[in-house]
Amino acid sequence: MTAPTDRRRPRSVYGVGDEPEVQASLANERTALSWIRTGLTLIAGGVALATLSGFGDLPLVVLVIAGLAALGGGALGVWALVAWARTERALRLREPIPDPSVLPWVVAGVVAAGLFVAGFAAFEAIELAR
Amino acid sequence: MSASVSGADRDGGRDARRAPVDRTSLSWQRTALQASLVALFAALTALRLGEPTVGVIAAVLAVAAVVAGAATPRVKRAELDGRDPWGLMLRTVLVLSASALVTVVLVVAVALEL
Repeated sequence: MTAPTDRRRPRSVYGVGDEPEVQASLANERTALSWIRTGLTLIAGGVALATLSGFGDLPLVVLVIAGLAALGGGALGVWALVAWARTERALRLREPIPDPSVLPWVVAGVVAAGLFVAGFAAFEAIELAR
Repeated sequence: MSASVSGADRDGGRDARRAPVDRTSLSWQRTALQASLVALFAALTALRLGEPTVGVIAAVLAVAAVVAGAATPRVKRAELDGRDPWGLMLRTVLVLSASALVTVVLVVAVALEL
């Protein structure tokens, strides 16, 4: 059981179960940090698209993608926090680790944005060639 | 001979236990650095777009990200009291969310200029 002097927060995580293996707990922390960095990369993409739009007349949809990327990045950071707590709790209770439910959405969003940017670049190139 | 081998084994074992702690600390530093660079990028974009208030907020966020990274404990992560990442993680996610908000403000500012 948890030591009575354990004052770590949140209590919903550290108030249940037994202390997990150190390496598993640290790996969970690193996974959450990786998700946070993925969110930061999405935000950086949003800033880059906003900068590009400021240079010239890009269609409004590019700005919409920039806004969605920034919002998605912020949401991913919050999700990383929730996922860390869920996984740490599962480790302490010796339960199966929850699946990364947000992963298919991130992949779908990145693929959709990539396809749009590729299509847009191809369209612009054809226009320039005419 | 056997004493030195066992000594090396002992050192190897200590290194192996230490490695995940160091990897986690490096992961924190990478995250803080990336958060700081993203906020700095947003600050420069805001200033270039003529939004000094947003630029100053983003610059403050960049400093906050560096502080959050510098405050990460590096030594005692393998000990029970040292493995308490909630506060650090919360601070980092707050910086990230604020950066996302700043980016949305930038996007709106660009859209209004178009």
